[in-house]
Amino acid sequence: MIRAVFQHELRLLMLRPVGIAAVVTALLAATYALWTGGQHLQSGVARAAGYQETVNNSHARWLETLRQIEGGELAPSPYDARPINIRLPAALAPAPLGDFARGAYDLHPTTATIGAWSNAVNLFPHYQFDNPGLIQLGRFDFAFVAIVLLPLLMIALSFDAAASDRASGRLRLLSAQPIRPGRLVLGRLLLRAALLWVCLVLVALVFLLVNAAPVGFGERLARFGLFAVGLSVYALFWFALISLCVAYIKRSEAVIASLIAAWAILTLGIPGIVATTAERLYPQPSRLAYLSEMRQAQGDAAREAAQLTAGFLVDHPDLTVSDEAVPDYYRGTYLANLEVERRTGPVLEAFVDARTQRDRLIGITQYASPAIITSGILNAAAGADIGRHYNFQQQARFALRDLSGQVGPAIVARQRMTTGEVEAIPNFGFEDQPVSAMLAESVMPFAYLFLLALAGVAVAWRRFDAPLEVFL
Amino acid sequence: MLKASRLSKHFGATVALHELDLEVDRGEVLCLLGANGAGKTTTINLFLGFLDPTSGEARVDGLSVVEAPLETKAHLAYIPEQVALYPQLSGLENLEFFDRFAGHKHSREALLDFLRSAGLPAEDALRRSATYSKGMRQKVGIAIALAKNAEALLLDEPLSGLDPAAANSFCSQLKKMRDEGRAVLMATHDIFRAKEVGSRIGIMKAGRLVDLLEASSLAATEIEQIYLAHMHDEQAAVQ
Amino acid sequence: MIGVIVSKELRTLSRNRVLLGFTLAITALMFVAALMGQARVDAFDRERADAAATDRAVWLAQGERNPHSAAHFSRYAFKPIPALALFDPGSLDYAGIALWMEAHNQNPAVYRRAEDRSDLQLFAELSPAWILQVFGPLIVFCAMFAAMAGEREDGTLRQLLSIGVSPRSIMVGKVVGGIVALLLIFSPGLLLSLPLVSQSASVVPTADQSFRVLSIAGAYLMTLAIYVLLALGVSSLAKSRRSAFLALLVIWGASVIAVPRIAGDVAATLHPQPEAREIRRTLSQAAGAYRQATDLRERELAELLERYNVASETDLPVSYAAFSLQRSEEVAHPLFEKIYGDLADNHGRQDTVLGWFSAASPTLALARLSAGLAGVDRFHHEHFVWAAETHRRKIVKQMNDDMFEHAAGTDGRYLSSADFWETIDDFPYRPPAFSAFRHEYAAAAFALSLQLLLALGFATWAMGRSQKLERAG
Repeated sequence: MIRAVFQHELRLLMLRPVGIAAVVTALLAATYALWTGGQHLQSGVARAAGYQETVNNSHARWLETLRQIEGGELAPSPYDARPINIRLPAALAPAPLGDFARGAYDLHPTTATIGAWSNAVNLFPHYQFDNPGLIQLGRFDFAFVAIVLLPLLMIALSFDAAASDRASGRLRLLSAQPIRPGRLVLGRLLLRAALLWVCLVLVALVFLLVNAAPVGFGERLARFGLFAVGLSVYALFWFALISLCVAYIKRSEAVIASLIAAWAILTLGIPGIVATTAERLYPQPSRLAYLSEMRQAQGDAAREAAQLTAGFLVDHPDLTVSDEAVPDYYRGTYLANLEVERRTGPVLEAFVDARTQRDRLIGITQYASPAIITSGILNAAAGADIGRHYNFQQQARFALRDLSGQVGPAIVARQRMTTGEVEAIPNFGFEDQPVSAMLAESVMPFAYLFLLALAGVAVAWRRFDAPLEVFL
Repeated sequence: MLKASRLSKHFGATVALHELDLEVDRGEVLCLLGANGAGKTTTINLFLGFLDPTSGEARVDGLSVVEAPLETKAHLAYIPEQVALYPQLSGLENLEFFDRFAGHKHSREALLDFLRSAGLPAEDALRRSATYSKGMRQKVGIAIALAKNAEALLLDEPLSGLDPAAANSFCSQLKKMRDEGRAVLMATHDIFRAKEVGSRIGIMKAGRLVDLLEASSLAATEIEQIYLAHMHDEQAAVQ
Repeated sequence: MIGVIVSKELRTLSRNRVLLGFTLAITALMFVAALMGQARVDAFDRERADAAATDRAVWLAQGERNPHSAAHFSRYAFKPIPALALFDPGSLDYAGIALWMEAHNQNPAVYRRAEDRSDLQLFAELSPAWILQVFGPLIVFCAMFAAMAGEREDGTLRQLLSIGVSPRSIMVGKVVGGIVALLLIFSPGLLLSLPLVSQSASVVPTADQSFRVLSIAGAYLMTLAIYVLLALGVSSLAKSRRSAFLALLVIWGASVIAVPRIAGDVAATLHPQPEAREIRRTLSQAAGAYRQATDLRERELAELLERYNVASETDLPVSYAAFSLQRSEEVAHPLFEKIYGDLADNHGRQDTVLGWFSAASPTLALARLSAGLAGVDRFHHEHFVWAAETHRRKIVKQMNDDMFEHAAGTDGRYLSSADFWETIDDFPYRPPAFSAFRHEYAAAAFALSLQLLLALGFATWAMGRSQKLERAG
């Protein structure tokens, strides 16, 4: 009987325009999002690789010059093979599952040239060329389809699962049969939710294979696992909420109004309020003040180059300044950058502090909105969270600090480094947060959402099984 | 087959049905007459388990409706005033759907036969039910009862709004089913049809069964007289 | 007659408890959003003023310095924040706020505030404009879905028509009733938050503030009317309240939630943003173009020698280094204009795609118009960028001129005196009047007007059709 009813329900659904429209919308939206996501992943990876190659090539030329000087093949000019001109690439490619969510990839720097010409403030070369209005609109990625559109489609497909039968009188006719009509309705809701879930998961699986980058498929798979679980728990939550509304509210327009209100509050309202509150409570330090700090440090350093040099030499008593002809501004720029690092360090720490506190607040308030929980998990799994960008920026700054420490003495002492010393400088490699750590972070919210959904389904189930006098 | 003993239903302070005692045997049609709100539909709803009795008991084939809701429904067929079908599906497909719930799995031919004997020819049965008239939907309702092989039928004003030809056809179906040995409880406003198909006629007023008449022993006009007398009592009482 | 219908509509709506709840929530939310917006505008304006003051102080404290070294250090231009940003921040946070007016290079504005935001704000941002744009249509639909479908379901429409009420009066009554009710819903929030705009006195007032405020009100009113008419039309065609509501919610989900995002995505896919690295490469090529143009340099050197009637560079009474620095700026100017021009053209093409999608979403058209009127969109940003570039050219030339006059024969060791920096002007930015690029918004305004007409036509047709059917029974 279950199979027959299932087939009947499916046919019934597919004969209604809203059924076809919802399924087609889900399929099209997911396909489009993942197709453009695939392009983003591919071009992002290619851009990062291209950047690394260009900078590496120029570094190789620099190194070749140094070799020639060391081998006596080249009479060097004052500018040749100077340590301040060592430049190493740092690039942030989309994560292996980057086609599933883009987040704010277009908003943040994805390349940096690690070299002593830069300081923490101007480490990332200009990247702000985009159309502001377009970044503001955001991208239509799969995470958006899952978090925003999926519940809307589920609501459109399911809100009248009981109400239309009730209003037309079919529910009485059904109730006269030896079955429990509530269970039929719950089964119907489950079928409709599952149908959309299957649509999204199928498309996702197809693109999981189609968009796969040549490397890192294992990690892609692990990230996808996390993504898929997040999506499923979220869908379960909405299934539970829809079931509750269908079970307790009799008129279909009241069901849909309540569900849409719930959707708007959970998906738009609470995230908006939480974000604004967090921004207000833990404001980020002013970027302009940060800039001013750098400018002051640079201005002061330009005037006080001699004292700075003396200070540096006091700190490095083993250094002997050579009498080679080296442009003065090499040393001046380097020392100014050191000064900038020293003075802006506390501001950077304040940025990190504010961010940590803000994230803590969001971590607590996320329990008020499944959309916040889920977007956190999905974005982290796809590597589209802002945290990943901040990690990149921080790791690039650390790499710069390390390199600066290694090349600094030679710059101030107007010396060249040896090939061996230069080759010992490590290349920058971005360390992504491991999937296990993401999993550990999301276990609590996951479990919470899952239990909430189960409780909702249980309450709805009880109501659906209530005496007909209550249900009809 | 259908038995109510001291069956009562209260909605808060309102008494919808008061200590009803009633029995409908196989091969018998009991018609309930009464004004709106007299308790006819409440009685049917109590037999269907759509409402829980405040006190007393409704039994179907000896089983309590409250204790064995699913088993009793296996014996029952219900035809409301408006038989609501899935408009996207044909009459046949609707029948097939309800047939499955009854736990049967009749062949397509068998289902078409049920529809035909309910008075719906095959060409109509294959059309989408959105295009059906009320009479045609009633026929699908009868076919559902036939396919289920229900031993008892609960009819809630099935004749209202039917044109005379359709009502006539419905009544012949009903007589046929009575003759096959089914028990029928029908709520109606139509005294003349009640006389035509009913074995007994119950008159209800304000939740009580105030009279129970043998249909064969009285003429339709006599029944009407008795009915109006009961109603007049009420008006007199009010005044 | 119409008055009777309007008052009946208002009475019905006022008894809708859900709607009253909505009104309270929206009022509170809008007021809070406006307060927070005001706090942001004030804070950002203070930041800007502080940064500008520090920039000036650092600049003046340079002491004796080579003007070209100073031109490399140069100054920053800081973008002021318009007062109306507290109502609609538009894409303000997605555009840079500080522009380095460096010698040789035309830089983009940096420090986009959105970079400091949490992931959540990419979803939803709590500004009065956003609340109106997103929840406005939803409330319109919640209030109006039953307008005709309900009357039909309950049979009251037949009754109205049977006593000879004209279809037109029913429609006008419903539209007016709907709009009045919605104005009542939204005005508490607006009335509470608008004074904040004028209160933000520290903020640079735009010359045509009142024009902008009135136009914003007009644009929102128009959009409101479009959604009211749409609701009425759909409600007339729908068989039941249920299907009317479902259809309207689909329209809301599409035009408010999905279409804007899809539009942005399609625009970026069709006209992709060139890689930043590529732009930087062409910019630095442009900056070095004069150095690469050997023939041109030689010819100009010859002309210079001839002008001063000397034989060699070292005999010149003026600084040849300064001459070629200034020439390299001038040669780069048209190249920069081309690069940023191409970029702006590409952004324009992206905006055109958004324009096409606006046809399917009054909300998208409204959002663009509203951001423009609030002075927080791409056009206003570009105005700032070019003003800063003009100023950059001016101050870099001032410094090159100083070197040109005084640095001859100093072997590159010329230092300007400490008080020279006073003669370099501060960046004198005045935000533009709306009329300066009114034409850029003509399409969006036209789209909105057309949508209003279409919605009016649709509602009239739908009501006529439904009433004909109703009379036919």
